[in-house]
Amino acid sequence: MKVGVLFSGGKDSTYVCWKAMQTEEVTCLITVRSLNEESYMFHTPNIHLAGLQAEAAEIPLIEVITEGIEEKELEDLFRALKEAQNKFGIEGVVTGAILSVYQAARVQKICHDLDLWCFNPLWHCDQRRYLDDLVRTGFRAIISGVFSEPFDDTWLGREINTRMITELEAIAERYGITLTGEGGELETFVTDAPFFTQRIQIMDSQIRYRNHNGRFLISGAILENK
Amino acid sequence: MIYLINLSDIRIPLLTSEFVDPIASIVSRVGKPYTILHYTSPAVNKIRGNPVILCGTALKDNAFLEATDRFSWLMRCGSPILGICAGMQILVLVSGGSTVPSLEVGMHTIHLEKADEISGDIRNFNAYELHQFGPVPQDFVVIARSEKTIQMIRHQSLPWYGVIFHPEVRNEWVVVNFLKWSEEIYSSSQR
Repeated sequence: MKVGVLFSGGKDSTYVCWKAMQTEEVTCLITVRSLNEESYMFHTPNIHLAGLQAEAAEIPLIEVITEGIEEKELEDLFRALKEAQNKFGIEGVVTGAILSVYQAARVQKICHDLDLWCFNPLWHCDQRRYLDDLVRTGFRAIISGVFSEPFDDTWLGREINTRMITELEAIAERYGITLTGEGGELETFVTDAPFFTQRIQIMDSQIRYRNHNGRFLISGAILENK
Repeated sequence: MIYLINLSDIRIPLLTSEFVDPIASIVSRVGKPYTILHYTSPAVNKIRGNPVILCGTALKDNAFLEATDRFSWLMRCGSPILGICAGMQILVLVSGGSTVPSLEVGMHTIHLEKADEISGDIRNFNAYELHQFGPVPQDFVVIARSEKTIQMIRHQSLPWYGVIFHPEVRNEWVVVNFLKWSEEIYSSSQR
């Protein structure tokens, strides 16, 4: 089946893209860039680099800009999926949703309206097992946003590895947050994946941080050979 | 041994991690061993008395509805059965009921109409819906409803439960309590 992957450039959407590629034909990535940093649906730092990641993966990208007004932004998502249907013949959409009913239900409804399959391979997965698999299979992702206690600026730019996963597990248990950060606590940016033909080298970045709310903003990045 | 029956379209392996694995995780967390079988597997015909959970599947997946003859084993297996969403639809269809179009997606409020061993003291709760057909059951007692659809049923004489919502999202108690209840049935049948 031809599918499009709802892509934010973070670990979850990149991982499910790879999962989908095992059995389906991923014909495009679909990115919704929100002008609203507070959007519940589309809120990822460094989303402007989705094009570079798509280039690294050699998968076409459909990119749509949204003002990020709640519920209205869904019209922009509808438009993006419709374009993916018309241009790339997708029959289904793959998302990296893990626990978010808010996001999952909205995408499900839009897919239903467009008569598209909706796949969420990470839905209610064992989060520790997923993160271990992410690292083990060669994904490289950095923390690009922190949005809750106890994360401070020292987390920004750090690469996810086994040691960090163990730290996150202890934090999740103590503070009641999600291990994967899907509750909005963390955002990530993928610099390399098993299916990338080139990796991303970050050349320039800035950190904006205040009171457990910060972003690792990438202002310069290139592709380099693996 | 608990049998988890995968009702998703066998041509789409992506569905298993979404609809079967979360149920398997719940069963595993309560310490029960399980085996996953696809509904097309001949091995389902050998199930006798072991608890069975018929898992749900994707909103767009109706392949199982075109193969209801493959579920005749449910009537003779003698097992306690929990049907989730698609699984509930199958239980209704094999026992002479039908389904009607009824689209519900996302969180909805469920109202308990009857006290029941599995629902215990719960009266109202929110549940995750992902279906486009609702049940019109025959020979079942309705335990709970949403504004639009029958949500939870229990067979009048067979050890069968059906829920149209997805309990792996925020309502794991359905699976946990079903497994406890199944164990009690099995223990009392051994005496």
